[in-house]
Order: sequence, then C-alpha cells, then structure tokens
Amino acid sequence: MEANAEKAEPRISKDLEQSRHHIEQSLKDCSDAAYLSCKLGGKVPGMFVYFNGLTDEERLNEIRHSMFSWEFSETEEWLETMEQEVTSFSCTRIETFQEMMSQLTLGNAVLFVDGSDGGYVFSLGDWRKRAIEDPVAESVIRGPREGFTETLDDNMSMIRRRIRTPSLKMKGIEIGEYTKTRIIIGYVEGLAAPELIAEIEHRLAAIEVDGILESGNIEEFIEDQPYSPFPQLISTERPDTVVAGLLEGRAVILTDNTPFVLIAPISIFSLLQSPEDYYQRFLISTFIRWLRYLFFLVALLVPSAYVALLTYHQEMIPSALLLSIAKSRESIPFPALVEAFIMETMFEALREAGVRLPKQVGAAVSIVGALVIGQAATSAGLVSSPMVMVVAITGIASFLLPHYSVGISIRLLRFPIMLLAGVLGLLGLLMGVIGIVIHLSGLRSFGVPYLSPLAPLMAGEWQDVVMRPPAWKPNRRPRFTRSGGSIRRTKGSKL
Amino acid sequence: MKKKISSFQMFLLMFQMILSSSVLLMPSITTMLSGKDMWMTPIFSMLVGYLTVWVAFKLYKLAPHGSFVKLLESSFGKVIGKGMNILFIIFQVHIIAIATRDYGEFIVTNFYLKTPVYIIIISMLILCAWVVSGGIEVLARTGQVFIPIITICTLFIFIFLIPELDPSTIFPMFEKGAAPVFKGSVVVAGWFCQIFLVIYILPYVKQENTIQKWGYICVTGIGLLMLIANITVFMLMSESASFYNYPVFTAARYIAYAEFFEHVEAIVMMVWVLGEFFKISFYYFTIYLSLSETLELQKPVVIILPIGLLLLLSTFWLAKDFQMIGDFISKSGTLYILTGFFIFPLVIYALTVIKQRLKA
Repeated sequence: MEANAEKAEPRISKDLEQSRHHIEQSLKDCSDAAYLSCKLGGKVPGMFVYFNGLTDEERLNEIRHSMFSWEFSETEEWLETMEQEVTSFSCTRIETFQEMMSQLTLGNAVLFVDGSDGGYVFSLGDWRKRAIEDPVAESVIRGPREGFTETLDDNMSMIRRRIRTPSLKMKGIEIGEYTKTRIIIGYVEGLAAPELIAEIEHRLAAIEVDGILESGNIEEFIEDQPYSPFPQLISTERPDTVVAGLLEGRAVILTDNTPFVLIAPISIFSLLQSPEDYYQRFLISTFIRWLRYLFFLVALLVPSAYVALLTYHQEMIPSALLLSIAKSRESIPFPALVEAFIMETMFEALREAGVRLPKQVGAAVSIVGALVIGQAATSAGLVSSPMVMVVAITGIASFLLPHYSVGISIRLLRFPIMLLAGVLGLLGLLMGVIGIVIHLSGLRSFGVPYLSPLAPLMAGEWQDVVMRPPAWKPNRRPRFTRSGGSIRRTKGSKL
Repeated sequence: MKKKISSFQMFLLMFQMILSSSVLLMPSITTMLSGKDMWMTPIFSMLVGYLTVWVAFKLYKLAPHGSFVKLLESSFGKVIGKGMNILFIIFQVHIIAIATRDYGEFIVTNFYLKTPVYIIIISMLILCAWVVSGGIEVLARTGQVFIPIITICTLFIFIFLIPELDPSTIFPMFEKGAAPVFKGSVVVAGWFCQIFLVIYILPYVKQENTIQKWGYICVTGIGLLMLIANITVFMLMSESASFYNYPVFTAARYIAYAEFFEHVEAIVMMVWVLGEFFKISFYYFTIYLSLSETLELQKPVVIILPIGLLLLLSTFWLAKDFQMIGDFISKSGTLYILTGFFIFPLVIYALTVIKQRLKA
C-alpha cells in the first residue's frame, strides 16, 4: 500500500525551474506563500519557499547571505559539499512535495537547489503565540500557576519538564482531512497498560473528519458511551493534573491549537478531585472532599427534594418551618414544581449570559441577576423566598465541583429529577436517583468501570475516595494500570 | 459464560433480595403465629437458609457449565427438563408478582392514596427492566452503591428506637411450648429458601472457592437483621404488632429527636423501595436468564420487555385486592414457596446423585 502511495506522489526534480513550476501550481492563490531566490556560493541557483508570518524571516536572510559566500570547488562532488554545509544549519532532507507542504505549514522554510533532487528544511518556525498564563477555568490557591497554551510544543515541553525520564512517551498522529491537526498520545511506559494505549490509538485512528478544532471534537469521537450526560474523559488545562494522571498510569491526549488536554481513563471520583487536594494538608483536603460529595448531591437533589416535600410530604417538614414556608408561599400563584422550574431555568440562563457576554456588559448581568433571583422577585410575588434560597444553594453547590464538565451534567440532570419529584414525590426522586446509578454502573471509560473503586469495590484504592490519604501512607496503583495494584509509594522517611 | 461479579457482590445481592420484604412484613406474621417467642423464629429458620445455600452450591457443581437449566435437561431428558424449567419459571413469576403487588399496595395505602397502583408498579418495572438489560454486572454494581446505604438506614431506625423499648415484654419465654415458635419459623423459612435463586448467578461469580463462605455469611447476616427487627418491634409494641400490616413502618413513627428529626417514615419508604427494587430486579434477571436458556435464544435481550409485561399482568391477575394476598402469604403461601425453593431443589439433588451413582 505505502509503496504505491510513494510512487504516485510527485518527487522533487533536479531541475529547479520544474520544481518551482510545480510548487507555484500547488500554492496557486495562496497569497501568503513566499519565494526567495538565492545563489549558493555565488553560482548555483537556489530558492527558499516559506509562508509569511510563520517563519523567522530575519534568520532566513542571515542564512541566505552566508550561503552566498560559500566556497565551492568546481569538482563533481559539489553536491556533497553543499549538503555538508547545509547540515550545519541542522536541517533535514525531504524527497516529496507532500512532505514539503507539511513542513511549510509548520513554519519551516524549504530550500531547493538546482541539480539536487531533494529539498532542505530549515526549522525556522516562529509565529505569534500566547504567553503561558494562569489556567483560567481551574484556579488553585496553592499549586503551580502555569496553564497550557494553544501551542502544542509548549504544552509538551511543560509535561516533559515535569517527568524527566525517557519512559515518558509522546506518540504523534494527525487527524483531520483538511486541518491535519497534530495529536499527541502521552503515557509513561511501564505504568500505563499497553492495551489502553493500543485502544486509544485504535479509536483515534478510526476518526475520519474534515477538521479538529478543539479536544472536545476528539472526546466525542472516542468516548465509550456518547449518549451519556457524564464526561468520560477529563479535560484540563493544568500541567500538574496531566502529570498526576500520567503517574497514575493514565494516558493523555494533547491537541494542537487548544489548551485543553484529555485524560483517560477516569472514574466519576476523578471528576470530583482537584489537584490542590494533594497540596493542602490531608485532613483539610479530606474535609473538602466530603464537602464536595455532599454538595454534589445537593446540586443534584435539593430542588427536587424541596418540590417533593412541599407537594407530597408536608408532614416531614418540622411544623415551625412548614408554617413559615406556607406563609411566604401564600401569595405565590404557581405550584412548587412550576416555581422551581422557572427559577432554575432563570438561573441557568443568567449563568450562560454571564459566560458569553463581553466583560464590559458583565456588570449589567449581575445587577439584573440580583433582581431576578432575589428580593425583587420575592416582593413582586412571583416566587417565594425559600425557593430563592434553594436556587442559590444549588447554584453555589454546582460551583463547588472542580471540573466544569461534571458540573454541567449535574445541572442538566436536575431538571428531569425535578419533574419526577413533581409527579411522584420522594418516590419519583428515588426513581431518578436509581436510574442515574444504573446508568453510572453500566458506564465505562476506556474499559474502566465509571464507579470504580466503589463499585466494583477495589480494596486499597477506595481510600483515595473516602479520604485524601496522607502522602507518606503506602498506597496502591489503580488496577487498570500495567502493574495494577502494586505499591506506589512506601513509607519513605516518615518517622 | 464470562465471570463478572465477585462473591462479595453476590453476597450483597442475596442479602438484600431476602431482606427487602421480610423486615417489613415478617414481625407482624410471626407475632400472630408465635406470640411472645416470635423473636426466636429467625434463629431456627436460618438452618433452612444454610441448607438451601448448600444444596444450591452442590447443584451448581453438578450442573454442566454451572447452569441449572442445563442440569434439569441433562438429568431428566430434554422434554421433561424443559417442562420443569418452564414450570419453575412460572413459579418464580408468581412469587415475584406477589412481592411486586405487595410493594405497590404498601406505597399506595401509606403514601399516595390517590395514585393508581399500576403507576407505582410500572415505574418500578421500567427501572428493573433497565437494570436487567444492563446485565448482572450492572445489577451487582448498583447493589454495591445502594445496599450498604439501605442496611445502615435500617439499622439506624432500630437504633433510634432503643429509648422506646421495653425488654420485659419478651418474658416468659416458651410460654406455650415450642410449637408456636416452630410455626413462626416455618413462615420465616419461606423467606430464607428464596436464596436458592442464587444458583442462577453462581456461574457469573469469579471466586468459586469463596461462594459457600459468603453464602453462609449471607444467611447469618440476614438472620441477625431479622432478629434485630423482631426484637425491636416486639419490645416496642408487644402482641399488638400483629394488628399492623407493616409494624416496622409504624414503629418508625415513634422516632422523634430534638423536635426536628421526626416523621422518618419517608426513610422507611425509601429503604423499602430500594430493597424491593433489588428483589424484583433479581427475580426479573433469573426469569430472563432461565427463560432465554430454556428457549435457547440467540438474542435474549428481546424478551426483557415481554417479561416485564408478563410480570405487570400477573401482579393484577393473582389477586383482586390486598386482603387476598395477605391471606395467601400467611396461610398456604409458606408451604407453596417452601415446596418450590426448598423441597424441589432437594429432590432434584437427590435424584441427580442417585442417577449418577447408578451410572457408576
């Protein structure tokens, strides 16, 4: 197969004019393509091809000038001499025009010389890029402050700097018929299971699409259960999260032109953990973890529980509280379910507006928001003040989840459960919860059960779920890794 | 067949399968039959539980590929074997239809007086069909999430009742001799013998050597929890426990702490709903499994919904009202269920062993 493809590809010809003609044909109407003629040693004609704005032109001119003063002997070995000279600029030789195109789009310049049937690639890629900044979506109080950027090479360097061993592998592939987006599969050899890497490669190779703009495009193609509301890969812009994942034997997928890196496989508990858990004192982190679990349930269930209790199980509410709720609901024209739906939808709309709006108008949203979900709404007699409280609590609860993607699933699932609670009370709520657990029990992320290590119960691993174990306590590697279950850290110097 | 679940998961499923309905219903019936000595009944019935686990494991070892369906077919010939399988499946449908109806009536009479009972039952069957279509693995994992919660909630209800208890009510023991205790024990044994259904999931269990151990632990655990339930209920209500259909539910109304933590009946309801969910799902799964094996289906998933419909119809076909069901459970029902889940397996075991001896 491959040999055939090679044959069909037009190879670079020895005649410079012919090459030039071919290049100009294929780069027709590409106004950013630049051609720069030169004379090697003042005699042999040559030509540089590159793209404006992608290549360091100053450096290119320097090289061009130095070439002019090369000394060639008039012997037959001039080609070899030239190649030796050129190699001093650390360049590589290419044979086909297709290779040339992929080099050009990376910002490199390609030199063609009359009489040579190859191109010489000068790595001069230098384009405008964003500086490394704080990760915006995942901030921490204690922990590294750098986040990934849109530049793949910078992102790889940030990982490589943290894992300084040749065992860190970064396999590259290209996806996208037109975008030819560079994708890197990163893993630590010896930690990650080879079957996992093979599976990821297999799934990535199956993608046939015009273009990949963000890792979200890839995520949708490779996840196990695309109809699930739950994310089956973590996307993060924090290098330390990625490195922690690599050290746990997970694989990471880097995509060019986006700061978001995918980690797989995961379980639902990885989505409820923040990298900072491991930087703060373990007692505090354990407390915060439990707080997160609690508010995970709060975000999912509190509005529906409120609806269920008010509609069907008033006797469960202590009398004093029931009286005050009844008093505030006296003038409300809606049943609890409708009230909850209006307010929750309002809140979601406000949040979405806040995310999309330009910063200058953002203040307006918060003012309007305070009016809609707040005192004004209550005094207008549209909603009761307990309902405002419920919405506010759920709002805070969903902000407590460290990964945006799981927060959004919870926000989505809240609505069907509210409906069930409005129809069947606590029984409906329970049905909704059972349904979600059935779904989660069947879900897998790259073959790893989504509820592990809780169900199926994995001894030794679940201590990282119920608490944040102290760093000096021996703990085991996740079972899906290559040396699954082996001791990951020993007691060390802890006395 | 793929090994998918651990013996601990098997233990959890069996534990909940038996306990779900028994904790709520048993204290009333045993008080009626055994009077003051009702709390002892689970102790004697546990023997039936141990024996059932033993015979289930023995039959599993005898069966080709561990399949009980295949065992009947190989021991009694294809036609008779298939007939026996179908009969046994119908028996299971009958038993679980009673439990489902019971669940529906409990919810309707105590919480949703105006909701039609079929809404409650259909919503439950839909969930069960969903988990069954996910397979034993999903059922086991769902169990692993919920069953510890159910057990802890049940225990908490009894713990909170401690201040209300009067220990002197259980004395004197053996007031009327051992006969009433025996009567009550037979009824409780009707719950224990259902553990025989474990035979259908044994082929899926990964660690074969720990199956028996966990089976016996399971029976012991169930017995202990039944004991706690019985003692608590009787010390709380003494003989009047027999007047209530669901004494534990009534008992929960006694719980009141700090003028805030009261009216926890809803927790009892949740425990009951979750428990019944596992019981119905488990039966649903065994019916689905044995039917697809008996009919030798290539794509068994298609019969899940028809089985659900069958269960739904049987819940209404079996009795006109709740009185009929209660009557059946406390009278002929015990003998009926013991015949199916205790005597039938013992006979099969005896016949299979004899047949093998004759051959050898």
